[in-house]
Amino acid sequence: MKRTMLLAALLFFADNASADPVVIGSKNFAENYILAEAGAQLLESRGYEVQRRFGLNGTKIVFEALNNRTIDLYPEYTGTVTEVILEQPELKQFDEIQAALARHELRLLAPLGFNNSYAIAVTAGFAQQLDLQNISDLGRAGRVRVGLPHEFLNRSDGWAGLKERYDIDQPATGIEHSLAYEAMASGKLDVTAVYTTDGEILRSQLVLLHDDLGYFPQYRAAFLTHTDLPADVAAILELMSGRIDDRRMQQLNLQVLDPEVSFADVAAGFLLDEGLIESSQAAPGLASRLWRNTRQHLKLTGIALALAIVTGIGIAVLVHAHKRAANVFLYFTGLLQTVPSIALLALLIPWFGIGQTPAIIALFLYSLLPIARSTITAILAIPPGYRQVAVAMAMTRRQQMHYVLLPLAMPHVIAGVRTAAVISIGTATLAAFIGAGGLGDPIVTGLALNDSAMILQGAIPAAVLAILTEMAFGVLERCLVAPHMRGRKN
Amino acid sequence: MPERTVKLDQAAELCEVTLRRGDVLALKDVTVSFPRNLTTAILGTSGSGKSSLVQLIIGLLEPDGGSVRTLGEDLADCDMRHLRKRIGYAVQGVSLYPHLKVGRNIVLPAVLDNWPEQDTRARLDELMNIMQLRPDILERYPHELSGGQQQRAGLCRAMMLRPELLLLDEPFSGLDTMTRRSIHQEFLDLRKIEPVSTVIVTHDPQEALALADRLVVMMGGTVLQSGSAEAVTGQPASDQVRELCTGLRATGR
Repeated sequence: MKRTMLLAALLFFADNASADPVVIGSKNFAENYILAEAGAQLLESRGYEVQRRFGLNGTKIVFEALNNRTIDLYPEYTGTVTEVILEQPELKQFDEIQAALARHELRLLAPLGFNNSYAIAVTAGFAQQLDLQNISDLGRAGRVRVGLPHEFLNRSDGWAGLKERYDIDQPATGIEHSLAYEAMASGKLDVTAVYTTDGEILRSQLVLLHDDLGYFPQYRAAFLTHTDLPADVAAILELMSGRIDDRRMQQLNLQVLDPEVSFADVAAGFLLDEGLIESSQAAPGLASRLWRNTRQHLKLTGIALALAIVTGIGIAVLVHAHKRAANVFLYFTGLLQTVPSIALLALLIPWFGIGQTPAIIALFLYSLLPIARSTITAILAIPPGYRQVAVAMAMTRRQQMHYVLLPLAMPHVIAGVRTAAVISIGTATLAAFIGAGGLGDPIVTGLALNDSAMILQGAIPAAVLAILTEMAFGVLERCLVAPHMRGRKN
Repeated sequence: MPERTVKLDQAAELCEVTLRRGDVLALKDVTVSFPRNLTTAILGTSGSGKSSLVQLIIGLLEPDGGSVRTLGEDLADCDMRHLRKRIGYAVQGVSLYPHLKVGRNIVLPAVLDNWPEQDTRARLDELMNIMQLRPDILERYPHELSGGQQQRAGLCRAMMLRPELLLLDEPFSGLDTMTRRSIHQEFLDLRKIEPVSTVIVTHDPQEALALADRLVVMMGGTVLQSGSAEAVTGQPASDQVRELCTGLRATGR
């Protein structure tokens, strides 16, 4: 018990223990990675310690992380600040925005230069065929297939407002940002929304429709941070200000599409070109990254599973005798199971921030049900005669559990823990969306950069880990359960 | 023996006991006693309430009416765990725990009672000897034993703590005639060495007559007749008792 509490305490404080390094976050698309990484390398070149929390899934999550100070800064866009964060779309001037942010003790550093607005894109062939030039031309295009990044589809300054302004009546489906290009290229989509600085625009030969009604707001990029960010850190980051125009950003975004080139290489290349750093540091190699990710992954699932075993079996032992309590408990853990993992992770952010703590809590909650359910049903399935004999032998409740009920239930309990472990290993890959690291890290980055090789760097070890875990539980069962008790239905 | 002393010296007695199981009355106003140091067989068909009687005596069931006294204690008001340590209990089928080796099964009551290792060992040897069990079965699991060996081992466990009262619920059913006969003999040997008060539940009149000094004949939740084995078989109170005691229409459990 003491050890569990210590573990829990460590868990909660581990993330807050070191206040010194500058923690830089990023959203989960290539441009944001490059900007965040450039900022990180720039600070590192000046001797600062930097922690990277990249690939956070969408504005809500990354901003919440900034808000509760899990991160110190991340690259943001003025349009997103006014529409999503401040919810004051009427603010247009940079000074106005800065003043409004100051009321929340936030500020933007000097803008980096380019304006990455949304744009509506169609394939060149499609544009030619229907003679599309402006967004308003879409109105006469008839039924077209529209696939939009989820964030654009759902935000107020996204699709809904655009449809209204241009009086477009088209249904749209959500699609992962980087997958939209493949869908366009393979002719499965006609229309999508892109960022104006996206390197894929050139490669996929997409045509951007002119925003003839001036719908899209300005999306000028700048680091968003707290007003109390140390002046020296701000000054170094502002060395990047004004050095990246739209064209430069498109080039950087295009460079990163090359599977041989990492976003760290692109960021370093930019800083070298600008003379902001003198040499680029070598990024950690594949083996060391794999090892680090696997270790983090095992840590996340291991701690979550250990807590779930103690809690799940403990609660099962307490409630199994009371039918209603057992049902209520199973009902609630079952309900938790139905919350999509990404949603659960996002819901935990306001309380636990981002990083490993909310990830471990989410995995813990998911593991509870299989463990508790298998324990409760296994105990209830034990023939009443065995329990009567135990009572007749003058066993206390504790002795009944220890000598009779738990050993008889053991094969099912192990099966439940095994299920929970395998589910956790899979689900933990999603934890990278909230900066928990692990094998999901290369998957999230690979998705953002549309880099299959990088996705496999996470997917293959995660699959291997799941298989090894299966095998490990087979061995565990062989050690703990006599052969004739295995797979026994009591 | 004067009636009064017999009454005072009971291993267990039920007085006007009523027991409900769901909507059904399992026992109706049953008054019966089990004398010390004798073996009493409760004879009856399935559903007659004979197993309930034993479970009432050890407090696994609580009566809905009436009172139960076991080894001089009123079950409504006593330390049940302390009392149960003075009682040995074996049930057909679930007596031995499948996850424990036979040796561990037999000594489990002693382990729970914190006996010193060597006392446990000595008692185990003693019982194995009486019940004609070979030491090599101790390291095996119950399912690896024959039915007869399992039931001998179950009896050993029930006798582990040298109980004052032994309750056996269909302990020797499901065995072939030869095995049953030899296990009966070992039980009688055991009783000769350790004359523990015994209550045996059985549906088999032959077994009842082979092992018991006294008979309690039950049907439909009531006691039809009770008394010494000679008295009951010699002067059955009704045709039903006669049938049950001769086994002519006694159906299997």
